[in-house]
Amino acid sequence: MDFEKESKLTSDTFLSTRNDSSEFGSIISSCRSLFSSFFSNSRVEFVRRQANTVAHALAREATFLASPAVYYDIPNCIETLIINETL
Amino acid sequence: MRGGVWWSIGSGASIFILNEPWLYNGEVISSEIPGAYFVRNFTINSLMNLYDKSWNKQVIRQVFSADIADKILHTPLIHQVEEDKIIWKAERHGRYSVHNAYRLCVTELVDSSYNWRSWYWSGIWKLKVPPKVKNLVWRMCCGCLPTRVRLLNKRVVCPTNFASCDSNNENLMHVFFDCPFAIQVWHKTRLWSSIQHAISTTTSTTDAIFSLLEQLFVDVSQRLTTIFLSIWKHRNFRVWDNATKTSVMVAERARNMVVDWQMLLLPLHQMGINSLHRHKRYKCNNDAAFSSHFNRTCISICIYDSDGTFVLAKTVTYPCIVSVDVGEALSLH
Repeated sequence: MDFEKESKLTSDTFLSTRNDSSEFGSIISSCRSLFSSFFSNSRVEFVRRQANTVAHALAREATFLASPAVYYDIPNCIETLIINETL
Repeated sequence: MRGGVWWSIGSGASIFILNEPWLYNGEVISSEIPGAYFVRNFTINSLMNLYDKSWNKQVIRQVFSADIADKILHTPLIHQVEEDKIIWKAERHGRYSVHNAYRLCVTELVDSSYNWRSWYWSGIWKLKVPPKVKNLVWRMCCGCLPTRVRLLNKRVVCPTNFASCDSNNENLMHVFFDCPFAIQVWHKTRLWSSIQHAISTTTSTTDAIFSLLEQLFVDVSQRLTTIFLSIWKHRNFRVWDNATKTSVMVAERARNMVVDWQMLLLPLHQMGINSLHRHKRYKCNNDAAFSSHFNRTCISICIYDSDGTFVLAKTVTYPCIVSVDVGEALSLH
């Protein structure tokens, strides 16, 4: 699986081996160990914001939801974006 | 030093409630607050639900006044942080450096507003030109470009005349806008009318440069600034190597510099779009969004197969606002 991030800082820090004592660093190192044990065939890479519009729109929409949600079908709020992208 | 640190909250067992910078943005609960006596020996883990590392709202609302309770409940508790640590807040990675201590001092601790001028600095930095060009324009606008007038002002022993035209007044205005050679270059590049207009409507060279950057289109500003560099280079060649170039060559050098630099930038622009078309792998895009109204951080995850067909989407909500970096990192987690 390819994980695409629009935050250059996150993808760079994830790929580097530097140690980081902030909260951000703790989360990243936790991500690294998660990846090495469960997602060994995966990678993280940086994409431009233009390539990440769907995830962006869904995250915006999610701020109105109080609890987590899983969608097996395309949710309404991002339907047009997905159709545009596949065209 | 105390002003520059805050706690990164792990278990909370080693952070005392009072007088420690553990609230969001490094704020402190003072030992002067009413009722402080009763919590003075407690650490902040007594305010948490230990089974899922969240704030115990009931206890917090009972013990503290509404505004302090709000501040506590707005302080993010991050599951992945295991250990209580003091971190240096001026730097993202939390390690101390003199560079950042200085930055903290000039931005937060000391009133340095007299030093700021509300000029259009971002007009310089947003240009797509080589860094040396931006650096030159910045030095011109700060007034620290070593023209002979400035050097003599600082009692440096040097000739007084301007190498290109023997004028006796080598200042910014002369080198870039007044000297016949510079005017020739501006005529060749068809920028002279804009420059004349900018000079006639402003009072200083710096103001003229900023007004140009503000009014011209970005690509014209890019040409303008590289020509500044080309003119300054020409001046330096005259001074140090006694070499002369024509105004056509100076204009041409600037044009080539812009073209070369834009060629260099090109592959970067296409990077994100290309990675959409890769074979036989699932793709997972994620992002974070923040709502200060609901005091929430939300994370979205979208999974596609190799044809770009939608497979699954998921959203997760955290009941606090974290910094953008932490939010992006959480979304990867």
